[in-house]
Amino acid sequence: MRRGIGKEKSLSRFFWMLGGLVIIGMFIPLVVVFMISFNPGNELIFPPQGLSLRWYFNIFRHPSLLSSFQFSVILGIIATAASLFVGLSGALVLTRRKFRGAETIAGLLMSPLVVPQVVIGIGFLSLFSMMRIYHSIPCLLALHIVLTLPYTLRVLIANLSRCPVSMEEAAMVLGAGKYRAFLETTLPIIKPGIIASAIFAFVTSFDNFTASQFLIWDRATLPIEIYAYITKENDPTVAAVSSLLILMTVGLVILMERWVGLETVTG
Amino acid sequence: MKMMNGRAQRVVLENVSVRYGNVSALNNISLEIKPGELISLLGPSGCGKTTLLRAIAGFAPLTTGEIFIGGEPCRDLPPSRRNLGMVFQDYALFPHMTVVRNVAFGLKMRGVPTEERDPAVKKVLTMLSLDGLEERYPRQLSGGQQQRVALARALVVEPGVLLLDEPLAALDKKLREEMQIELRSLQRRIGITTIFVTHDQEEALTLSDRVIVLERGKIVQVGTPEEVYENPQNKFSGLFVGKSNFIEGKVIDCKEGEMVCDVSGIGRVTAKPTPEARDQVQFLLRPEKVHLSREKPLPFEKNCFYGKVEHLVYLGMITEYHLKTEKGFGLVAAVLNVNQSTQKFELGESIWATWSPDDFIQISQSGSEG
Repeated sequence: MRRGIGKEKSLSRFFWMLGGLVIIGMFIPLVVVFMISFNPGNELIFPPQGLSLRWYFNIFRHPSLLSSFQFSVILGIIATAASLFVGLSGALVLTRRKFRGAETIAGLLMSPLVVPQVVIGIGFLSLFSMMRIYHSIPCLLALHIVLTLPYTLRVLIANLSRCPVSMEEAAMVLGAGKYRAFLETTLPIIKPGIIASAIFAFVTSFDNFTASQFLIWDRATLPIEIYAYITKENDPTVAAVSSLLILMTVGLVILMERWVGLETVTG
Repeated sequence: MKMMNGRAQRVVLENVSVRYGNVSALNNISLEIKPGELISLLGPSGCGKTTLLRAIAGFAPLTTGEIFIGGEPCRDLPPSRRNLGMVFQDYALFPHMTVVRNVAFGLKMRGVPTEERDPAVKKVLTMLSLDGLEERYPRQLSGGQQQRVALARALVVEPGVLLLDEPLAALDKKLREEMQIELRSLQRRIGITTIFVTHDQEEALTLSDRVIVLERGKIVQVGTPEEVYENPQNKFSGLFVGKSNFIEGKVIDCKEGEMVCDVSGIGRVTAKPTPEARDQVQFLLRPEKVHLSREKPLPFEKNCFYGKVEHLVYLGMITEYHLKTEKGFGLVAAVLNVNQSTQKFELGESIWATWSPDDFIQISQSGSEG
């Protein structure tokens, strides 16, 4: 009996340590990047040899970084909006109409999660080349909608299947038309899911590198610009950019937690 | 408090059928529900009772037939234009709205201005003893309170007909029984035509002016609770409403106001003759009509049965004895536990069961088997 408890204790200690290591492993690179960005010297050195905001100011001397940031934000917003629209329509059909093949279709729409991004990128490249479209904007937009759809669809399906149809029916009996009933009941009920999937979709679009790199003709996204920069220069500017991105992500996560609670996202 | 009197509507169904692909959910239903009447649609799951309610609400498109609410044909009327109140099985309270906003929803949809909405909402909340819960959200309410809010939300728009889809099914037994009585007295007070779906035969008997027994999309029987219980029209109806022994026999002799039949497993039984009885007859016998005794019955008893107590169920007010003859015929008898001197029988004991020929309920064989 006693030994059993002792075993259990040491086992639980082992898992605590494992968990701790995972968390440390996740955060160390972020901390390192963050610290390097304050390095006054012009090399990517850890630990930093002083404290300076020099490289943060240096970002502004590189218009390509700034414009690609702007491009990524706009691309992310449009892709998110489109993905939400398609995802919500899809989720409504898949949850409310029980038709044969619904599961298969849902599975296919989730496939960007498992298909290697290199394959997706090359696929899009060949497709657009075939159609002789060599512009970053439409190509990246199409790609990012496809890449973000699994997230919006997944979260919205989870939310909608927890929102019974009887809500809308109750609203209809009470005098609401079909669309009014949806807008008054289902939409506000799944609002947390919509916010959560929007944040997911935006982040996915914003930091996609692997698939996006195949579709860069006239405009580049921020991750690609950062990569291009680092191949040419060896100063901590990219660390400064990364630190700002980390702060932005943390901000979004806090917002998500505030507005909707994280459990609606993972649900 | 008669807020909706005079508005109660008549509901008429004419040859209503609902089919989904090849599946017939409702088959040629015709029915008239009088203004202010409370009827219950009773049957096991899959009998079409919910579909019938949803057809009246406008959620199940009619394949054939027509529904009239207050004389108006409803075939092409969307649910929002039928002026109904409906309480769903899961209540369908809007989780993102407070009690007040839930209840006011129907008035808002009808374009009633806020200053008129508030007193109407307050009145109906008071009527359902929900004062003080105005600013709560549905998840902060108990099951019984949620049920009342759903009812308040349905009633505040002064509907012509109230539709209830197993509204008490989610409540525990004690609360359900309280709500049954409350619902009934509320319905009487406001005099609203009410259609109530239930699979609970006891609930149907408790609440209704008339019970409609449904089986596989068809109406099996329509009648007052008493009629349906005392005079079931077929086997299904008799077995579904209350408990029954089902007895099948062959007519041997029919004379002088007596019909003698041979029942396998018991032997000869005597019933009242009926004109339609020919060769085979089917009877129902309610358990409470069967008398039990240790002594052999006197010779004048027409229907005797000697069996062993195979199983007994003590239910407080009554005790149910499940008897079996040597030839394997089973019979259930119920004994009311009147007082200390009520005779008790032991498990495994062989006793006599008797009943009067009048207690047989002869049923038509035309009804479906099941």
